[in-house]
Amino acid sequence: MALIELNGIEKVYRTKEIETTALENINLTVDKGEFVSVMGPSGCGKSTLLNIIGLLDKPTKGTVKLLDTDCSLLGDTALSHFRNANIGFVFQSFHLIPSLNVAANIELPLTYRSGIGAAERRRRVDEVLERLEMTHRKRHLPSQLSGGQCQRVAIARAIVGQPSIILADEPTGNLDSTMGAEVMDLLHDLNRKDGITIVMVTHNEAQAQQTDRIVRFFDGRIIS
Amino acid sequence: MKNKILQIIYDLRTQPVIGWVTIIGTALSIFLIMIVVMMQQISILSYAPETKRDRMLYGLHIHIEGDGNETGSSALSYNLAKQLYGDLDGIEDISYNSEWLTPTDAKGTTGKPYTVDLHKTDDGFWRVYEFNLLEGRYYDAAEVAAGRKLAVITEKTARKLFGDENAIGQHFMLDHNDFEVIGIVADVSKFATMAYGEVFAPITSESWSEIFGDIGVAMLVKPGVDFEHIRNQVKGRYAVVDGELAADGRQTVYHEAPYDQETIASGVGGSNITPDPDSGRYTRYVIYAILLIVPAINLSSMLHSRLRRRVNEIGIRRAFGCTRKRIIKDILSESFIITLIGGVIGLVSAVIFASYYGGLFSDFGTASVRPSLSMLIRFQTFAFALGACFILNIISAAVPAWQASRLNPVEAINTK
Repeated sequence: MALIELNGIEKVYRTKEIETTALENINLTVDKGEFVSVMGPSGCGKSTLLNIIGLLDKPTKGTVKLLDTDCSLLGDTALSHFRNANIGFVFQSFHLIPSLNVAANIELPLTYRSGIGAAERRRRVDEVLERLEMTHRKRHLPSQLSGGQCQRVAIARAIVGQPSIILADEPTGNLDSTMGAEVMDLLHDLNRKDGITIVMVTHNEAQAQQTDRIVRFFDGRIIS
Repeated sequence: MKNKILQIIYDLRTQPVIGWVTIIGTALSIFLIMIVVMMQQISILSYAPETKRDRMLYGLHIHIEGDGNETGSSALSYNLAKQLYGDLDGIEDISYNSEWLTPTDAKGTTGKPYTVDLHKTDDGFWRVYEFNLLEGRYYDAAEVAAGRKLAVITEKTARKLFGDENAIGQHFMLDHNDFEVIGIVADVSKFATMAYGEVFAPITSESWSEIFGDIGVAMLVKPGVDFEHIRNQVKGRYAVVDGELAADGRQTVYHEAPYDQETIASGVGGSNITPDPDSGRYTRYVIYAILLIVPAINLSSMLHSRLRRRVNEIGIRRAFGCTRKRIIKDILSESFIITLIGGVIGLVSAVIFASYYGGLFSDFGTASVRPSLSMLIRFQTFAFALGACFILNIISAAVPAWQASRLNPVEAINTK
């Protein structure tokens, strides 16, 4: 069953002087529970693709269908609610909020979801922290964590809302190989045990080879 | 809420200059606004002995135009005051008392000469105002009618004139006349402009002319009676007076008397002009607006700077499902907490300043006149301070919050 369906996606950035085509006629389907890697040289449109799947950016042309919903038809508020309920993001630079401690960072997506009380939020955060073996760092600020720990917290934040899709933009790009391997193990674990569909942008061929499928990009187009 | 407070603490730690300038700027703004509010409050709100200011009306002057004698404008003669304001429908009580205070030489048993502010009143004065009688009694209607040389004095005056001796029953010289002290009242603040005095003595009905004198009338209106009902009756009485004056080619000029407390507070302006409380009100509103808008512009730019450091965070929040409305709400509420912190500092500073430099609040121009804390700290003070904080916050934070909500999430996330 297709969870992500991109049809005829085109993304063009226009300025007064120049028009740049970032994505051209992208047709991509990702099935439920699939772990897909997106590879390609820098600037080929991988992150743009991820932003469009993540409903952070709108395509110039084409339709984005996630979980059978045509997201091209949704307004900004509906898109926010959809993202909150169904998508988790993991970024290369972790992007934890520096003023919030680990628990508050992880809790963030739940605070934007209606119908979940504070006690339930705390329970879910504790559950995720335990799963990622980060309970002892619960009250620490991001500045007090190592890179690997930051990425674990970022993953915890991505999964605390129990999304169907995780979009990971070079999740191991800022980590050493040991930490990177740990993060990859974690993502595989989420994919296998929880059935979360993952789309991961990476430059690391070895990590990509471990995933179900590799989508290769060049100059805004899928080449294989 | 907890996360918002954590965010504010973090901001103050990471951007101390901007954070503290914001708080101090807010405090200064609220300080200035509250000084203006308190000035207004002291002149409008009720406190002893002017405890019923909302029901008080004052008949103060008469203005006569035409040829012949006794034209011009001044306070009322006793007879004219009675003719214009006596026995009006809707009045609970009335007092005829001297419109002006007379600095008068007094000497008691201490032998030290002391200049007192003499306020001549009738017996109704003790009913329209609520003095705190510490000892003795007030003079009654018969004693006023008989022109008895009796006096009610304030506690401070009693000490000045008689030292530690019990003042009740004591005699003292007041403008070379022998007066007997029959009552002692708590000191009256000079801010209670209509009831203030240090020595109160029976007023006489003698006036220097048929029309003009030194009488002011203080009326306590029955609860629920419209002030316009009283004014209409007074206007009718002016017409009667006009009929009497017509033979001499003279007429009264009606200046919307009697005046309520707000008009008195705005400044009646003079006996030959119509007071305009609206203009005072508008001036106040303009002052409030300036005091809110000018700092709000500065605070807005401060908030803008603080938010520039948080663009990446806003992008992340958007990615995880925060709506634009929620971004605006969160920024406004965070900013409101900071404004409240500044507001509390500003309010406390204003109260401290006002209690030490009360002279600024009055026409007396003396720093020694200090309003009491009970005059300054009222429910209305807090309500106004809170309202001012809220408005200041909306003006200063609305634009930056709206701009933050319109950020492109992708660009925001990629901002370093």
